[in-house]
Amino acid sequence: MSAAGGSDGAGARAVGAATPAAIGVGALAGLLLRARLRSTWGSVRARPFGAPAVLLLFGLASAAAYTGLFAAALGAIGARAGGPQAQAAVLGLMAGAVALASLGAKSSGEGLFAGSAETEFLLARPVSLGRLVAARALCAAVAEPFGTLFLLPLLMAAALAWELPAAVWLVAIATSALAQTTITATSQALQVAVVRWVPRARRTSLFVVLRLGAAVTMAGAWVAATWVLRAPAEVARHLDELQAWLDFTPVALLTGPLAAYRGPGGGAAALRALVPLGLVAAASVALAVGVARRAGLRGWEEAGAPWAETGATAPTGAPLTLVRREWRLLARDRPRLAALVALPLLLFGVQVVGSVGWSVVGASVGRVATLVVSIVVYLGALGPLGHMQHERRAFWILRAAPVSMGRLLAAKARAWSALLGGAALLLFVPLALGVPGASPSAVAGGLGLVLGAAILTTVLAVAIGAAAADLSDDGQAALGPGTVYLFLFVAGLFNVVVQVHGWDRARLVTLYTGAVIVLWRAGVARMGACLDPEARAAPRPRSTDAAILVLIAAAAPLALERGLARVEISAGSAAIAQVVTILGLGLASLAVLGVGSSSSVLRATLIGLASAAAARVLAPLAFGIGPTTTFPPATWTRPEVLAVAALVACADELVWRGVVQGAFERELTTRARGGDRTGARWGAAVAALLVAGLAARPSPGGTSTIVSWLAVAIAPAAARAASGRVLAAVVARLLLLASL
Amino acid sequence: MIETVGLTKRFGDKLALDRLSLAVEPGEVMGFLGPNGSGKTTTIRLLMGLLRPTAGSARILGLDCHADGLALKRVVGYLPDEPFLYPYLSGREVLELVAGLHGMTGAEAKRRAERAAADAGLGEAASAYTVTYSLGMKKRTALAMALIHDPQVLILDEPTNGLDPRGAREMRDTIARLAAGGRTILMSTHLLEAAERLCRRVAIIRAGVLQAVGTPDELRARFAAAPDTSLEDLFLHVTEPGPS
Repeated sequence: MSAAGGSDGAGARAVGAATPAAIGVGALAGLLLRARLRSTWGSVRARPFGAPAVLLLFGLASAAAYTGLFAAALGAIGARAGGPQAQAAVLGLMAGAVALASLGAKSSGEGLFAGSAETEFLLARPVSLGRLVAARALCAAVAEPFGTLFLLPLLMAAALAWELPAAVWLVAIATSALAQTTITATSQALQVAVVRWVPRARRTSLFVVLRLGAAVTMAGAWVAATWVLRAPAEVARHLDELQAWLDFTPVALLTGPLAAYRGPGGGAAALRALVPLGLVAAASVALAVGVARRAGLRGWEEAGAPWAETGATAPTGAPLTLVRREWRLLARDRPRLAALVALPLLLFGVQVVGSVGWSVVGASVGRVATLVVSIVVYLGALGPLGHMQHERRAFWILRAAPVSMGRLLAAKARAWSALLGGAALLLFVPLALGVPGASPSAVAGGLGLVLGAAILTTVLAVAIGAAAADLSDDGQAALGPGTVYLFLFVAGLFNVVVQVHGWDRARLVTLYTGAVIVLWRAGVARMGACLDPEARAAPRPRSTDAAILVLIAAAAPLALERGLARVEISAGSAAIAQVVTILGLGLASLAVLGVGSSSSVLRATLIGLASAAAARVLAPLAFGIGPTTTFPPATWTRPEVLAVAALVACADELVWRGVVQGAFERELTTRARGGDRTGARWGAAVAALLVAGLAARPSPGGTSTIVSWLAVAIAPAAARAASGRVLAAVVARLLLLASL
Repeated sequence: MIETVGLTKRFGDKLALDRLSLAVEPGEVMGFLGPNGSGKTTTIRLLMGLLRPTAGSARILGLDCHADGLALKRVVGYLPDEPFLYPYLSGREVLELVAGLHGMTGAEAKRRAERAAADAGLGEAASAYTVTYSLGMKKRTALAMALIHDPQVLILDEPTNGLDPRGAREMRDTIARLAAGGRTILMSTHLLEAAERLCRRVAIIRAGVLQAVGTPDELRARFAAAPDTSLEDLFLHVTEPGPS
């Protein structure tokens, strides 16, 4: 215990000469680094397309994107506001914000808590706390090259904007590494001090405060970044006062080496400028070691661990129901409750004073509604989406009770929709009333929309959280980042409902409600089997695949159109964006469907051919389309346009006949008595056509366009129903396209 | 009362349970024995409808364990191997919640929870958050949860696992009392002495395959063991690694 305890080396002196010397800081840092890198590499190798690999790729891609964006912003600021001085000031602002946010995040993290498995594992070995703290600080220099919030890409962006040679990247890497060491050491010193000297009863509250502080600094970094990217000209106007303010902060240590490289001294000057940062890093490591030695392990072993709550008793209250249970568990989970209250407010603040600005947000009731819906979506991700993660290993209690999964999920949805609805109400009403010239009817209409959004978002979050839950492996999180992003994307599409009007809004609300019902049913089914590791292998396409694709196919073109109109993009570029969206949906459908068997390719092709021929013959009779009918515009005679049209047609078929009709077929076949596959196939064709019709945008052509759409859609749907293969639908669609 | 026919569960390539056919008579206490990883917990989870069988069927009181899941849970009590509880609910609150889930109204749920907490010997700790409980207290709370609706059938997965000698003795006494009350109990355990004392018959499973079922005397006769052969020796003989 003494070796792992307070004083370095004491344990080693107390034991005999045969005992090996305690591991040094450098060796320990090397071990930690190797373990971390191997663990990362192992997780990627084990699941090349799993979450770790995706996260790694996402991190690298984001870092590259940040580098490009900030290089462009710095270039714009340099051009408008007097060159390198102004750029250096902006770099200082951003580097300072990022470093502060990183420090805040690490200080409030749980990496050093005794509850952390790695800390317990290491402190159970002959490793002193001081050495562990120092080794971790050194390890951070290499193991976290991008920093928590991309400090290195920021420095790289400056190097690119200043057109410095590639050798300066080494200076940027060294700066980032020293900064990470300083940040890690300082945050550990802070955590050790809190654990050692703050009474246990106040420690949880203090960590909640630290987390809120971290959230504020993160929001600050976000505001600074969006301000620089959104309005470089406005930033440039404030640079003099900014520079004067930055002169009093340590950010010069971060920007100094790169700025020195640009001067007459070159590389030597940059190295000299690195020395103060190196000294600060060494001092912060020494501080962390000193604090750790002074603190020892006293108090440490129970920091953040559940058994630290010994003696806590529950206040008496009404008997628990399923709904009250949700509220009570949330009220007693103070960090989660604080995040749920604080983060939406921070997001709101960021939107209003940062990335968008009040003049834009408060321009109309519709925009206020959009902001509130966005915040409700974030609340959904923070709250109800994680319900199964919070059940985790205690879920057996509910699973072994005589309560249907549907009732259980409904109770969760009721509990959370009250909270999200309340938040939407509190945010929307004062803001909407503050919009100049807002009529009561507009405010009431907007309120109805945001309350509807709150309820639908809650139901969607509960359903997606249940559908994604896999509690069969205690070592795995019930909720992965992919599920969170999927929820944010699908729930965020409700903003399109808010922004459109009339028939577009009616059909989107209908589709959205239908999709939520489908996802809810999938959630109920999955929740009942979430303890079974074999239950996930449901065949595709699933009804949930279809529901999500339908929503995206219906809402994404509208969202894209409105978004592109705001940035005044050309009609050609807008068309390209729409085509890319459809092709993307086609690729997603292909990923869902996979490559089918080649056993009945000839049959499917012949059925497609026959369907197209029948459609071409019957169209004049059924819809009044003449044999010489062609679809405008005339540019469709050009081969490259035809090729794109063919690709779009294929993508369309993969979505509607492949995934949507396929999912209906599967669903109807399962329900059909006696496994009537033929009836199910034709029923699926009709159902998919109805959904596709609802999702299709009304175009200026009116009835004639609807007739043309039907003529083009019915033949592939029939081909798919007759053959059971999407290939037949693709063949029919392409032949129809060629003939028209 | 409890009956499985050809019950099979496969996890990917691994056959966790292979065509288990077993019957527990009304009022009987049956010990379910087997080495670690032999399929005991999988069987119990299948009986509770927590897993879906790959093949075969399981019925309790005539109810299909998968298709009639809700009805089944009204008449069966379940104690899992590792009874995790909501850390920031008190023992009393968890008991009230479970009583509510069994359809008891507020006052009735409170009364049942109080009685169950008292029967489980939680005392003052009933008001404390379960995160502060020892494993023994968690097991007692979980057993109280399993009994709160007065079930006819009890399924206990390693009820004495991880308990200290006093806790294990108390748990055994509680099970004996429940058995004397006429409940049907299927209990998996590693404690063979306790199994011999508590159970009329034992079933021994290895690598997902039922090896033997009967009273200890029947098993001794079947495997040509001396009358004084302990159940432990018999168990080791039956579960000896080798072809099933």
